[in-house]
Amino acid sequence: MKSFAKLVKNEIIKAFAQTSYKVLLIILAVSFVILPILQFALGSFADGFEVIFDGDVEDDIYDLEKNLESQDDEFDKAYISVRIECLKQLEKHDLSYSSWQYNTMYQDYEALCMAEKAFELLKENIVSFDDLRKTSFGYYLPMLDEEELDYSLLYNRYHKERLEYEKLFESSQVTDYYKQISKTLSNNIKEIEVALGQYKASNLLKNEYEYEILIYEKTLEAGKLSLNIFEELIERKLEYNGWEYNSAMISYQITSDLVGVKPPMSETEFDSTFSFLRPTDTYEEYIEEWKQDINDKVDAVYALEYSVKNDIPTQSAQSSSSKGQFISILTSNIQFIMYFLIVLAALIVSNEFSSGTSRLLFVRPHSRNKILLSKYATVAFFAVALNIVNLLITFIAVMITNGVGDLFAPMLTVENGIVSEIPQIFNTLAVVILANIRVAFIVTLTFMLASLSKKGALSIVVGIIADLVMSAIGAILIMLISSTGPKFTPFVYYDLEMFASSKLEYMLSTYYIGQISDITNVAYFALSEDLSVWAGIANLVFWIVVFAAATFIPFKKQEIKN
Amino acid sequence: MDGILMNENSSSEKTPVLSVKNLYKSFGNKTVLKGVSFDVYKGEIFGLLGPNGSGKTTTIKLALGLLGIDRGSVEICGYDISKNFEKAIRNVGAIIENPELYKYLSGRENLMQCYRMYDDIKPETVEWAIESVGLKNRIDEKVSRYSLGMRQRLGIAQAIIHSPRILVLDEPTNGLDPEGIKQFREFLVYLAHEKGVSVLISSHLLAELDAFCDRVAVINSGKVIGIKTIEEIRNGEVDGDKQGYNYKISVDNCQTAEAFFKEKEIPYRLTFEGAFEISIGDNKDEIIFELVKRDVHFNSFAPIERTLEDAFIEMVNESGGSKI
Repeated sequence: MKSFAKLVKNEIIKAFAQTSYKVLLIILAVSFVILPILQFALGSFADGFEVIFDGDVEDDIYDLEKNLESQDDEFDKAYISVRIECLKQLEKHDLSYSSWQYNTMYQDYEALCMAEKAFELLKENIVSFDDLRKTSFGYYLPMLDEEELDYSLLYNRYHKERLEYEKLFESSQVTDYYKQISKTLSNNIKEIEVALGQYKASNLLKNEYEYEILIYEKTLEAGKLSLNIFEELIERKLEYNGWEYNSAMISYQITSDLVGVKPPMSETEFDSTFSFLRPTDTYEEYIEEWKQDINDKVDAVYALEYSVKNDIPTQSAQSSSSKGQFISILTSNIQFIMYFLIVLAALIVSNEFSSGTSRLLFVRPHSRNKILLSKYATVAFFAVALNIVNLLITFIAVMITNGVGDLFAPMLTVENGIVSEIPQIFNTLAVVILANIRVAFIVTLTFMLASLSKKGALSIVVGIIADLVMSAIGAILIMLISSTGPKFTPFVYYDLEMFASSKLEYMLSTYYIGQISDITNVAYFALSEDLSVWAGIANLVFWIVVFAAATFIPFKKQEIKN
Repeated sequence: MDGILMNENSSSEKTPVLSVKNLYKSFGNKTVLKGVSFDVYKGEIFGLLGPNGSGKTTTIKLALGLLGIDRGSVEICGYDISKNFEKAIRNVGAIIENPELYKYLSGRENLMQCYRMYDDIKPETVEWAIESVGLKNRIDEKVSRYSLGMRQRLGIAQAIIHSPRILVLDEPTNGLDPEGIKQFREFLVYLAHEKGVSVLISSHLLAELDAFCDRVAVINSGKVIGIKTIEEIRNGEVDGDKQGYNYKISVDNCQTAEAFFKEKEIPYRLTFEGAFEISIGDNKDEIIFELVKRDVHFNSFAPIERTLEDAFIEMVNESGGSKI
């Protein structure tokens, strides 16, 4: 053991003495420091983003009015007119785009105005419901069964609500806005209760209404939770832009989304839609998935309610979340660490051969594999050391740029409606460990290539390309073959740290971010399928062992010709 | 620093330190070694002489376990290199081809790298090795700033740092200046004859081995075509059936001299106009007298000192052109 430690010491001294590694380490150190600063700067930039496009409500009205003149389609004309009317409300109260009213209330207000206009058109029999759906108004039309609609009643309701909203512009109080939302929520809850009662009463049609009943039940549950959150906010007189405020808005959005959930498609519809995309998934699996989606949304509201009541900021609910910044810098630094380790793993072996020093190294009283293992251990040493440095520097950087914030706020998980806390340290460790399993996979692959081929540059290139394409191949496999088929390949598990944040947290953050990249989509897809983090770890570790075996077994017999 | 090399306990003079037996090695279709055998004994400087591509370096790489052995065996201090690599190689210090060192490290750190690879050597050995090769003043400089000669010296230092019982040196004097070569030879002779270290040294240069080897194996086309002591080479006792020219003479009257050699049945060879190599026994004075009597005048008369080169050429010719 002692002699092995001395071999590792040799390798570490060599690594530190080589200019190329020194340069890379310096670049790494600089990027560790620069990245948080950049993120901070970009964060501030993002905060100021609204300011850049701010203030020119008048300009926008002018542009829209010009646009209106050039429109031929009467529905587009009507749509633009409503937008102009809405913007004039902002102009009238001298509100800019950056004010909270614009960000939050205005969007609701615009939706109300659009719905009001839509029902006005329907009421006057200018257009049919189905045709209106195909126009710009379609987006604002509630999910309703048109057979049972009384358009004048609906028009009156939206008209009344719009006038109430206009009063809010005058008061400019966030709590008034909360009260307004609460009121709407209460009304919705009442309506849902009635509808639910009706569906349940029609016993004969119970099977047919199975999905509707489920949606209404869940919506009711989420709606009540959401209402609780807003009541909590009113009581505490919380301000716009506080994390509680953001959390509340997410819960509101989730509740509205829940109302909008369509019943799943029929079996025949499913067959025609998914037969090409996901041939191995069954209709039953699809139904399960859809129900799970609804449950997840309700869970998200539970978690938000819990966090508002217990003063726990959720990672997603803060624009400059320390936790979010910490995890994001941590993982992007691990990526940089990986590039360094790829270079190290490739050159630590191949340099001995290219410089001819292998001839001296392998005539020492140590077996070939022991020397090779000492090199692998050296790569591992750098991996551990750089990860520790990464944790420390990132922590300090986040402290400086963002402060403690929600850094130590626990993760929330919901099981059967019961919310429990998971200490943040587990999440951080999980992210670090899972990301490093991925690093170990690529670095061991590179080490194997370098030991077998003795070509350093080639191994580096292959290692980096492998890192770039693994996830994409995983995504393609999932999409083309099936979600369960490629689960024995390492590709689908490559972004293992995706599994680190809980499904719930992931969901909340996607609500906040508002968009999900393709790869993330796949990961989320994977999460909701039967790919588990443990299967992923087992899979990647299996491949690491295979790569190691392919490195060490032939190396014992290899001829040192150089 | 006496006593650093602790080779006094070798079991027997007769047991070879390095024993190479019937080595065969092919690369693809090309058979590089066709049964190479030799033994190196304690305190002996053993030369491995052969032209480029004759299989010297391959033999050495096989002996050090760098290449796999197809057939045959190598034992170092009784340990088989294939079966007991770590114990066998512990007794070896080696420079294979150019001593490639870590150029980005200092000379001292290069030696420390070697030092850390052995568990049973004392730190003083490093200083001893530095002093032995005369690098004390510049040992803390980076190797990239060393001249080729200095790198060779450092190469030797790394080879002796663990007091090996045999030094294996493949073309070790490449790049050394004449003064350096002289010192290097003296040092090897000191190690071998004073400290009992065996030395296996390969070269394609005859002159390099000529001066100080105890025995020389000539290797050509993957075969050892002869192993001789320096005395055997000098005395020309080469396998008994040589012409054995032992004197060279230069005369002014060629025809007369040639007629005389024919008449007296003295073996001779005309090297160029007026110069002969002849083989004569104890009757040298009589021959001089007879020739002078026939009006042959001598420009020179001198005994031939056989060099390794002569022996080499003979051995190569003898092994038969057909095989080459």
